[in-house]
Amino acid sequence: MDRVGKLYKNIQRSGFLVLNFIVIFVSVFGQIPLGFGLAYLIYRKSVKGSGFFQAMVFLPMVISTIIIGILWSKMFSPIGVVPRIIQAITNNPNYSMTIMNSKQLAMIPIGFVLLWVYTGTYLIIFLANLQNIDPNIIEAAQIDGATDGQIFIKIIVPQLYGVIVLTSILAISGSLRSFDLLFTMTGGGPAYYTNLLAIYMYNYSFIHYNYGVGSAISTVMVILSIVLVILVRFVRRKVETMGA
Amino acid sequence: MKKSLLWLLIMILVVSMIATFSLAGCKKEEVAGEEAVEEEAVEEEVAEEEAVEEEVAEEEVEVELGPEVEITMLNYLDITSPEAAVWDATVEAFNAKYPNITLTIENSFGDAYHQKLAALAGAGDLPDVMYLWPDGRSIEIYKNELTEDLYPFLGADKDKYTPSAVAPQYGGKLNELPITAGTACHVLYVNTKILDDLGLSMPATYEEFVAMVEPISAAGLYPILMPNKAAWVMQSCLFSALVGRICGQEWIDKVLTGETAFTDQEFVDSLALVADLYETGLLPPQSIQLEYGDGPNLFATGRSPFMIDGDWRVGALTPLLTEEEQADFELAVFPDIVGQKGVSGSTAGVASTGFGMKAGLTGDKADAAWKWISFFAGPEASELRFVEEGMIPNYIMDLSVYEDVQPLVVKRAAFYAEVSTNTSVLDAVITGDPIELINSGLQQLALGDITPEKLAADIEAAMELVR
Repeated sequence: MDRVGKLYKNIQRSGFLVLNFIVIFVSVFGQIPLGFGLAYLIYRKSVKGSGFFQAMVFLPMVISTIIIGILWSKMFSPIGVVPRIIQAITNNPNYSMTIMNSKQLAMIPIGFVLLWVYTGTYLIIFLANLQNIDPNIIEAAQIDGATDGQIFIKIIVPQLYGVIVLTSILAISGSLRSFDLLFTMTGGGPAYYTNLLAIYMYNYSFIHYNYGVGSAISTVMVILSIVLVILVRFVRRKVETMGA
Repeated sequence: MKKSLLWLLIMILVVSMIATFSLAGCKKEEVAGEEAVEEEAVEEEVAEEEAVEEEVAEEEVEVELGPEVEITMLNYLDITSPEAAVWDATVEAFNAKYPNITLTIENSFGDAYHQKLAALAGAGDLPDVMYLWPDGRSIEIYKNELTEDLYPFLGADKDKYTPSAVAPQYGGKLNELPITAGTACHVLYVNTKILDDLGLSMPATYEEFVAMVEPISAAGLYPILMPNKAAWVMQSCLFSALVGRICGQEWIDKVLTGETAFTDQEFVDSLALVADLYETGLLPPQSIQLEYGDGPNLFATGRSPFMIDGDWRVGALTPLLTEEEQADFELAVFPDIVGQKGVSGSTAGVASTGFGMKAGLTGDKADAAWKWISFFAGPEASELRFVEEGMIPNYIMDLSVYEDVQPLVVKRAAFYAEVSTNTSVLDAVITGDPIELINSGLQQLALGDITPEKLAADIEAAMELVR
């Protein structure tokens, strides 16, 4: 009970659950739609040099997340590339990037990096599944006078419900155990502004050797994962029922 | 028919066996005679060889190396820092002295080092030797008895080291063999050339320091450079010294036992001073986003007249500056604060760090590990560190013979003589939740996210649970 009380107090203090939900939100409502959209553009041949485009979007996935974390940490540093670019654009040499010093805005650079890194994965998953859709169906719809928007909403999306659910589950579980990128990029700081569940668990377990609190946090992570996955499946059934 | 054939076969086998044994017996007797002659010859050869080996052994007695041993090591080093050159030279010297010992080295630095060490300890997979702190940051390793006591290895050589530096550590053991006589965790590095150019002089009081913000900022410089993205930096390199200065060492000793409390006004004032450093602009807001490793380069390139860091940063600064440039750099401490109860001009310090040995090492491994540990704290490695980085060795040696040392190194040596009082570094005497709260809380203070009073109350509440 003491450990649970301690954990609850720490959750209140740091608000790290909110931070975890921000990461989940960016993953589910950022990476998946973006990956889907880019895959659809390639599928409909709206992009020239689609192979190169595909490779560029997927490229971050072949780099170690530790390296990515360090790289972007340097880029967003007050003496890094991003502030220099802003200085050049705004013609203000005294501009200093302190976005990470704001409790409300500290997750923005992290959200951006999360999008940059993981969108490629979803692009590949969606593209592979889009290529499995029978082109005759789309052709038939076009002959019947369906617009691009109607084809997308009435034909493409319903055929990819299963993939959307799968990617959502991947995004949720991936977000909850998200550790390496944030750990190297911010270490959970400044203060507790970017301290996620996994970083908190790591600190308790391996810095303070408090395995009790560490395992309690892990349990919370597992429970949250299960609840969110059940929620996703519930939403899928609802959507399918409405579609039928 | 079949029966008679079987009998015939058995008979042949029996006869052949008897014949074999009897012939073998005859042969054995003959061979025994031959063997006796051969044995005598072999004995003579062996005796000759032994005599030669003994002669060689007598010649090689001074460089007896022992068996081939490999030891694993987790070292505290930023391999991109200028100090890495001294480390390489040290390892090279060790390899030359003990070619039979192979060092498998893994380098790590800052929080990453402590996290790695903690993870290895948690997994029961500690390296044979590891870089350790006398208390504080390595306390959990000692509490779990994961290191070997080095006193039995040190033996009579104890007299060769500064007595205070080899005094008993946690649990009455010598968990690590310190490499220096002590470490000043707070140093105010000063670029006097920039101060002169701006028409400023060293501040004697905090108020004078604050008054310098405007002219320094107007020149486009950071008033004080202290990259403290890593949460430990503010606590270790400045706040501990401020607590020692404002509250005094006696108060620190008492707060550990509960005779005084973190909610006392003097501690709240110390926290308020940190908030004030940011409010007045002495510490610019971006300093909380600067990586710890960025400091020396920015300071050496004249981005600020002041830098706050530990004394170990001399090693990183020296290679970045020419000897002429080093003349413009001084080592000082934070100026006096109105109402301070501590000693004027004090810094915060800890007993020195050094290598420790994994618990349970025996035989050749333990010998090899000790050879490394004693070499690293011994005269050869100490000489390298003194000449290149100005680290005053724990090993007692005559330093006056080294004339060709860098100016900043000489200033570092002089700094220890000028700063008479060392107060406790907080993370050396406080561990667990309270120090986590202090480290993160100092960042919250900097960001205006918490009041000094609230933070002090939180720290006291956490401390009450561990006292």
